[in-house]
Amino acid sequence: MLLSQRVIPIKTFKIKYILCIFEIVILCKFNHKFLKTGKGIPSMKKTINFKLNGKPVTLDADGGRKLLWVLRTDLGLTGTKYGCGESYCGACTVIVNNDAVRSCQISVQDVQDKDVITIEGLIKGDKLHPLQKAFAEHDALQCGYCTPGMIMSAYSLLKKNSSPSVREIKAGLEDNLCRCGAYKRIISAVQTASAEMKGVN
Amino acid sequence: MSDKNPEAWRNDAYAKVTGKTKYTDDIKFPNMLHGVPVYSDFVHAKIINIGISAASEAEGVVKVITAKDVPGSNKFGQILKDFQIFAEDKIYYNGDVTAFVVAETREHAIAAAGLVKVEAEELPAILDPETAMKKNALIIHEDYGTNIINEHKVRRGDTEKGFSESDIILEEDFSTQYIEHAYMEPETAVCNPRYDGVIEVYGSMQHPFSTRRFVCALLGAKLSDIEIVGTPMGGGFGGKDDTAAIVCARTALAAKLTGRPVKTMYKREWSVRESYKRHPYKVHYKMGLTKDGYIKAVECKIIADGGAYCSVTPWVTWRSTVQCCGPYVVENVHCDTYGVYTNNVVTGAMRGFGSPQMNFVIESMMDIAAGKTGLHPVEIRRRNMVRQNSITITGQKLDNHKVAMEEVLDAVLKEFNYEDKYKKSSHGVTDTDELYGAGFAMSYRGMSLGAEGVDFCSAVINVQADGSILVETGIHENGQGSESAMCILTSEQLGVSLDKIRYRRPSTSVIPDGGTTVASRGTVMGGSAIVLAADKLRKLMTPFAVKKLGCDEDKIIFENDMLSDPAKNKSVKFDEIIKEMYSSRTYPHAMGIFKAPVVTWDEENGQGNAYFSWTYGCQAIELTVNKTTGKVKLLNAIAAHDTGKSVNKVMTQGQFYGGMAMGIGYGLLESLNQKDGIIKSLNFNTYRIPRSTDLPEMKAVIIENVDPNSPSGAKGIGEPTNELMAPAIANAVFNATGKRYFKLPVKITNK
Repeated sequence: MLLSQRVIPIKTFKIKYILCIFEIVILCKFNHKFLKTGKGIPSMKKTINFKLNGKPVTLDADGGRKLLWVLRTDLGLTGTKYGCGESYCGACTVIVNNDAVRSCQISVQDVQDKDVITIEGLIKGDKLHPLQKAFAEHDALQCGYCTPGMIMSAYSLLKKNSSPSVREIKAGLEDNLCRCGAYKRIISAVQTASAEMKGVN
Repeated sequence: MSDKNPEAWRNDAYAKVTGKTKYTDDIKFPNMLHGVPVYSDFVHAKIINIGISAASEAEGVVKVITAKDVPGSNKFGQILKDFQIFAEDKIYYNGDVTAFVVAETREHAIAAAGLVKVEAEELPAILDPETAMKKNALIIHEDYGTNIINEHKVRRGDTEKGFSESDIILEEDFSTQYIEHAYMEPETAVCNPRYDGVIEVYGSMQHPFSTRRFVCALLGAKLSDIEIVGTPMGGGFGGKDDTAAIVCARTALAAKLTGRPVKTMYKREWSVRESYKRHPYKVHYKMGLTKDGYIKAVECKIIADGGAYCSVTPWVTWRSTVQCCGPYVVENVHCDTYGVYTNNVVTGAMRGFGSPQMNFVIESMMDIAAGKTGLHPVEIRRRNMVRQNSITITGQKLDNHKVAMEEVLDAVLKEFNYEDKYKKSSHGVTDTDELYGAGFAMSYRGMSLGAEGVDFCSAVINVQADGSILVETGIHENGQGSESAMCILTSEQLGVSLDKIRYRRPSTSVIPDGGTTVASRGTVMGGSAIVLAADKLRKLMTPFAVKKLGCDEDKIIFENDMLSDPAKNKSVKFDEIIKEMYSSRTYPHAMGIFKAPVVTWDEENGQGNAYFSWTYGCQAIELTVNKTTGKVKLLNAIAAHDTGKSVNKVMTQGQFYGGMAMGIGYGLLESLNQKDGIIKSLNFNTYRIPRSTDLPEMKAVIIENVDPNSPSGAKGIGEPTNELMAPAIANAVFNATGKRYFKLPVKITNK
């Protein structure tokens, strides 16, 4: 079933999105009907195991529930943000097996046995991750609402390309929106973090 | 290239980069319910019935609230009390909320919302402001008697005479689009009914005191019964005023009626549908000039689509009126401005507040005038711009601060190497695929509220027994860094290190009403109140230092966490003096109150000293336009603004970059798709805001002329930085293609 595979790395997201259109249409129809009748919420509880920020998690949850809400509501990890609910803004970005994934799109059952990292998982003890440190040092934020998603996308970018060019950083963060317009400094921060992570600094 | 700067300091940076910041949706209370708004399919209609029985009986539903449940006043507003919190007799626009479902879970509430049935008799929707203004037009708000929300005017000199003395007369029509604020965090509220009868409100709103007025009106409560707690906010840009306050008000009512905590969190689609936007303008502009390029007269008619409710349309359009000739001296001016009701989405405050629209018009006109007179666009501006002691079009003499118009212009010309870039412009002719153009625009802007409202603010500095400091002001942290600015000012004023200072979480029940955090007034007003509070505190502390050091009062300086007399080489620790004060039963506690200098306004003639001070800005951009595809590529951009005293340069520059980015969206990318009163672009796939790949290289030039009109010496910078990119782009596109665009956003057509 396509749904269960919807772990969507951002780069391939657009193509997969098109593939998912049929499914979404069907889902919408279903939801619409369901909204009209108002007969409660379908619940298919199942046990889901995954690794969250390095620690094993076992949950009894509705498998179709989106990871974003499981993280925020069930697990109390509110660092991951809701921005648009449709994968367009990037505020909900988390890492699943090294890929930046929109947690508003992926169902919790799809992270079964996988490795999930959220913004809360980057800090080690008191030590900020180089990206977090660089974002603070560069004043690469204003309201801070896009920041966790932005940092997680940058984290995935640096995992795949340890010394990205400015053009590559811009392209890598293209789908993470920042209305305060801190992009210039976000790019500088990612460069600084990249250098630090390679041990140049 | 890195712009890493050791001066970067924000009190909230650590929490924000670690995801620890608690925004409103991150707050929860035990036993909390969830609220969801219900809309209807109508745009303009007379309500027959709102059927809630099926929804009320649905699983998990605790209460379905409609206008009938409102104990206080269902209609409220900052200027006109026309904004209905729940649709009652009529639906005025497609974002009107007919009912509010409160349920055990959000999912239950959303499911039940689909069961509310709205029966209504459809009325013709008035969607064009010019139609709405016609004498026989259907009146949208019958009790108001007219669709014209407000009129403003400027009457100066004699335009007939001015035009008769002109060699060239230019007449053009311009139009601008709606802008969605698109704050990343949608409207959210959490309301908790407390044991003492007070309802606590946590909300994503930028004006706690304004929100409190909305909540109290709806609930019929006293101001002291409601406590709005300042909560970190995921962006506002002027947009979290009326709508955000109303979301808080509905949620507070649900908490009151159910006796349980209630949370409402908007989906992006609800936010875009219901929240107010930047006004679209239609402007007819006529300008007369001598052949030497001196402006002799301006006549303009400005029509702003106010949408279904008044909101702050009269204030927005007032700024447009006062600044309708840009930073130019014009002796004969006749301006008529209208804010008009329609059944479109509501419009209200947005970063710029009536200036982005007018600057697009004026700065396009100046370049057109340059073309007609054969003068260089820089030269024609030099001939007309305001200078020291110039008189503005409303009769205000610019003599109480440094008039920095030419200074910011020259800074841009020099730092951007503008002349070389301008000369390279293609003007429609190129051998390659890419047409190249550079353009610029400039403005002046009245500081703070001006004659829009009562302008004062307080700050409290409360030093604890161990020397640590709590600071608070009536200004709200909207993400711009105002708390950090207040901490930095306190640190400078008292000579203490920043790590001693904590910004106290603000609450409307603690600090006096400091007005709304709008009009780029945060640092100007709140910062000035801090300076005045610090001054009082130093006076309280000095006698203790005199006693300790045995030196004269006026010799004592506060620095490095010490009070010292450098001449005598004596000093005592700040903390020690504080300890001494507590043992002598003296509180090191001070309140500063800053009242903005008085302004005047004669509505009859549109004349007066509209603002107590002014700021000056200039921005330029270079770009290419692809001859075949029309695709615009932005290369480099620059902004120079007179910031007054810049409290923190890094944060100030951050405002520059953010303002320029948003201005680029306005000029080139953003356009709200609204058809027959229904918004189609409800999410970021169809409403396009600037991305990392859209922006040019940007440079920020801070011109620091300390403002003598306020103790902080600062000038607002959030809005000036957002009001110039669109005309700079329009001018650059003209210089590239030879084609003038009169409509925003600029969409290149090859016709």
